[in-house]
Amino acid sequence: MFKYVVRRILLAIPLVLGISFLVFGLMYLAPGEPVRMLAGREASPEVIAAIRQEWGFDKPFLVQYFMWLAKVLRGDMGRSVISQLPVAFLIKSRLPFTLKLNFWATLLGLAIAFPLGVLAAAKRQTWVDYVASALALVGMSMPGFWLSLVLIIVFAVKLSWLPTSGTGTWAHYVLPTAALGFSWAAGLMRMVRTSLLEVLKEDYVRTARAKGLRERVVLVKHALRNAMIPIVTGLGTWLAYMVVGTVIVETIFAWPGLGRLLTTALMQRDFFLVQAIILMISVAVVAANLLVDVLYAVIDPRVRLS
Amino acid sequence: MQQLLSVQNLEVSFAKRPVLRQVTFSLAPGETLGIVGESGSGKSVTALSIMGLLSWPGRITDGKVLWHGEDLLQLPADSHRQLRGSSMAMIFQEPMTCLNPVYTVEQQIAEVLMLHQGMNKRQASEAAASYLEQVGIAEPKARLRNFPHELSGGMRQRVMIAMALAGKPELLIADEPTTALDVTVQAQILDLLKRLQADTGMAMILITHDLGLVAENADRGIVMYAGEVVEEGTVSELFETPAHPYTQGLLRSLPRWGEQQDLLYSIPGTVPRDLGAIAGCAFADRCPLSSVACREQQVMHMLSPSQAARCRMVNAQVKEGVAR
Repeated sequence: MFKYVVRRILLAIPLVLGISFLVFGLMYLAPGEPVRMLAGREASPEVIAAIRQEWGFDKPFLVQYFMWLAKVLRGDMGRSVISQLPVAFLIKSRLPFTLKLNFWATLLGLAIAFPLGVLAAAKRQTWVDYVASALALVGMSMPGFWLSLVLIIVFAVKLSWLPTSGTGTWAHYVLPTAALGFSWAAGLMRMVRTSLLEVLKEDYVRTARAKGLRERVVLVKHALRNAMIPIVTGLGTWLAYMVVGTVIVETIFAWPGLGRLLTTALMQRDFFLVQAIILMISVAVVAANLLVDVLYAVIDPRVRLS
Repeated sequence: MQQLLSVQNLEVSFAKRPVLRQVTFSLAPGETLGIVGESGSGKSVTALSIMGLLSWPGRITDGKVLWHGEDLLQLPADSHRQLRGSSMAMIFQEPMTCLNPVYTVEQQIAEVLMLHQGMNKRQASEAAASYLEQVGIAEPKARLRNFPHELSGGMRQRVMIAMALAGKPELLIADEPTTALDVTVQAQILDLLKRLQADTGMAMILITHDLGLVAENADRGIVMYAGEVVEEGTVSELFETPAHPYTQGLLRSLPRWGEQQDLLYSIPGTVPRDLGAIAGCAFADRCPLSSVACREQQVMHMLSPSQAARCRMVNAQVKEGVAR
């Protein structure tokens, strides 16, 4: 078990390095030279050359990459080209808001998806299943931005129950959390239902029933534990989904999180800030998948062997 | 003697398609009953109906399953559940897939002990080891910590049997318990079942498509064909004086010791698919003796106090015998 985890972590290191190279390369190739942003439109060629030298843009690509990498590893992600503030400071000030939003949205999604998915599988081909599956289909079919707008129109504009922007009270969390959590919950619910139905056909579920166990125990202890294997695989994409959702939802609800920081930075070609955020997200996704691999081993003893 | 189990006119449908028709048989305490038939003849469905494990879309449409004289089909589902795994236990054909892959042997056996014998975790853990010992597993303490994938097929079937024993059953239903195992392991498992039966006095229903297993292990047997019991009798009656043409065909298709045969006999034709469309004898299409009268509903005809067959020709034979 321990060896398995260590091996997974070691395997993730080259992956993260590869990602960092791609992230740096992509920004390098992207149009819009950051020096122009730093120097301003009217700058003379001498000034531009001086800035190039100061920021290291005159060096060959690979040298620039390793210089950047060495700095990042020391925790120095550079300064924002626009505001001149350290990138680390900018990220640190925004990260908690995104984390809080993602936490509640994830919790909401899990709280909806698991009970409904298990219920739909246990009562398959009854009205319970039909209603739950119909809800899932609707939830999955609604794009996040559209759902956000509908929520705003209904609960903020028409009913005036909830605010549309700001982060001050719990009420501010309701709409963004719902917008972010619902469609994820819908997809997850379908996954829970499908994999549980698959497992319920297994012989060992029949054995569990033949032992005289209560149906609840059969479902949760014997079936769901096995159904978790494919479900956890699906959870690997959870963070990737949350990132995309966060960018959209934060923009619509004017949420001061990383998603909005990223969109603004992209539009302003804030070179180092974009690199840092994308690198961070990538590492987080790798970490999430690492966690999934470890969870496999926790759930399924057969994985621990190999 | 008071019957342990008595199945009366049991009818089961799968999504309105009949799969069991008028299945009737009974079982005394301690007795071994063999149920023989091809795949799809309704052997397993019969067993699952007794256990209350028939799953969607299967449904019992008629009949009774009397357990100590009480109809299980009228019982609340939860009362039937409490009998499962304690009074009546079942083992299955596929030991490879019947154990839960994510729990240890100990967890899976202890679960039964805690549920039906009210033991706590520590007691259950100790008792689980003794049950493993009882089913002939060496180093039971070490095996308890194993996961199913670490055991061989024969070992897993022994674990299944240990789990069944843990409820102290009066009836063990063994549904093709050795079909998926090596021949040598098959013999060991059957010997084990026999020994355990002698030790505990439990009754057993042995479901198989192998006539030989019934001959060696059962007291009585019933032959099923297309969802019906076509013949019933003691093992010697079934093998020495088979009455139904299907039973006779099955016996003819067995290879015989010391007999030179180029080709084994096989019954011509196949099992009918839609039983709902058949009013009379389901075997009539493949039967060498069939006539128009076979297309009407058939009943069981008694040949002796213990033997009966669902064939009108049997009735004719018996009458002939009486007339002569």
